[in-house]
Amino acid sequence: MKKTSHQCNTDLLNRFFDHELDPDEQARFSRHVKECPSCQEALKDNQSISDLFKACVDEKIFRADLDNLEEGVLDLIGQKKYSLWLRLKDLFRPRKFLIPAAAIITMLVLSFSIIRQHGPIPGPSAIINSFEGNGSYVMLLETPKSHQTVIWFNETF
Amino acid sequence: MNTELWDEKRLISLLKQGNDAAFRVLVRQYNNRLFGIAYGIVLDREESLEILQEVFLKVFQNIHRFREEAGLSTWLHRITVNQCLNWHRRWKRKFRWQQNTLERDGPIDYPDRGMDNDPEAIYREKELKNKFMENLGQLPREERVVFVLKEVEGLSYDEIARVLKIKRGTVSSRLFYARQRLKESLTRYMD
Amino acid sequence: MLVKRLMSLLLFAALMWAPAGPVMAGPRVSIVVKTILASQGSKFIDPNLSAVIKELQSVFRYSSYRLLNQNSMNLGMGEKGTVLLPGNRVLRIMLLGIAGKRVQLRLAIFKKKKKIFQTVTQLLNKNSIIVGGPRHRGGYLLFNIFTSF
Repeated sequence: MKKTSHQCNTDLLNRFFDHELDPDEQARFSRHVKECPSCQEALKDNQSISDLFKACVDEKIFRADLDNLEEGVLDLIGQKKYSLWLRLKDLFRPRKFLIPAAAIITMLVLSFSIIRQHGPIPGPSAIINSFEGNGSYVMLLETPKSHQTVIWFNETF
Repeated sequence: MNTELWDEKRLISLLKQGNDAAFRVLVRQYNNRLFGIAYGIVLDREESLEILQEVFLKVFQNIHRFREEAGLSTWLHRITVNQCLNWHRRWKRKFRWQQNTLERDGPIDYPDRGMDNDPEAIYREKELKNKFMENLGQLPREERVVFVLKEVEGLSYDEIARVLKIKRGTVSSRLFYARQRLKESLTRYMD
Repeated sequence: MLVKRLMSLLLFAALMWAPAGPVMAGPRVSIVVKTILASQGSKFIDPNLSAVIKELQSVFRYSSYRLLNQNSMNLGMGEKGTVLLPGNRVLRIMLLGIAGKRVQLRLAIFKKKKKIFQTVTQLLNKNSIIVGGPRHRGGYLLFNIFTSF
């Protein structure tokens, strides 16, 4: 089989594989590939790598159980913690304030850390951020000594 | 609600209004693809899930700043890639547990590749995938990112260049070298 | 303007001192769920409930507390665990994150596959939350959910 004068250019070959050549060049290279076993082999290798990678990723996606991601993300958003954090971050956007801000914050945090003893953590055992239920009523209680949170709901279903 | 009817413009408009249902649509439409990108870059399932959560949170926080010239998917790709690249820098593996996943188990044999459906062939296929992912992890990160964006999303060179803010020629050369390295390391497996 | 910014910085620092903060990804969290049947009737205190009985008795006035089941799980960020409960019920726990010394969980109870209860809560490390109310065999079910990380 007569080889065409077109060089087996590996860069061209990759761009051909990715359909990134202009139409004329794509057509020319296509004709070359039909007659060049080495380019055919190289394209086959590219395809094998692509198929293998996609198979690996598909398997991971299948196992990743992404269904709960949506709910998890929406829960986090619903609490608006990031919203508050970002609003505060926005205040520091001007770079000229970053260094003095960092210095002041460090000093304040260190001061508070020193003043604050390692005493008992205030507050109940659980902070309820949201609640949904089918019941007719719900009660929130707290044990007197160790402040363990109790949720009591009336199940109507 | 028929989410199929939501075109990108409408979706973005509703996202900017803080519409929860629009956000659900966004997550459902993109979670698989973005997970594929994250996993291809960080090569860890748990980290990829965490990154994905971060990505969607960032979208929620910054959608009001989103300018629609580049397109929503370009923006999402960019956020995902940046989150992946920042991930290790940010956490310095402080909270990362050393999990012995299958990908990192034991010495790897190099049997002949079989295409039968018997357990032995399935095992060999799994080993091949493990080996491939290990090799992928050894690619320089910038080459891996380009390879992943190309293979997971089928982006053009121009699109990848826009996401990563690099030149088209750089995309082409990184992709070329990524494939070269992967081919060389898997030579024994190629027919 | 400068004064305003300095005031904002002070406020920010004060908030940093406060226990709540941005939710961060973190290590795995160990969760133990005790399913307890509380009822009136013959006095009975299950010896396996010695760690929690005082707390229960400080709030409830039942005469009998019986441990029906205990389940342990180890969850990473975004992972969920399932506990089968008596009476065709299921408890699903999902780890949403860690904020300071608190772990953020979503707890959902299903009965015959229908969600009847859900809460998102921030639970202090090495502490528990008690969820109760479902009727079972003449008494009430209590679920003591303890976390540590």
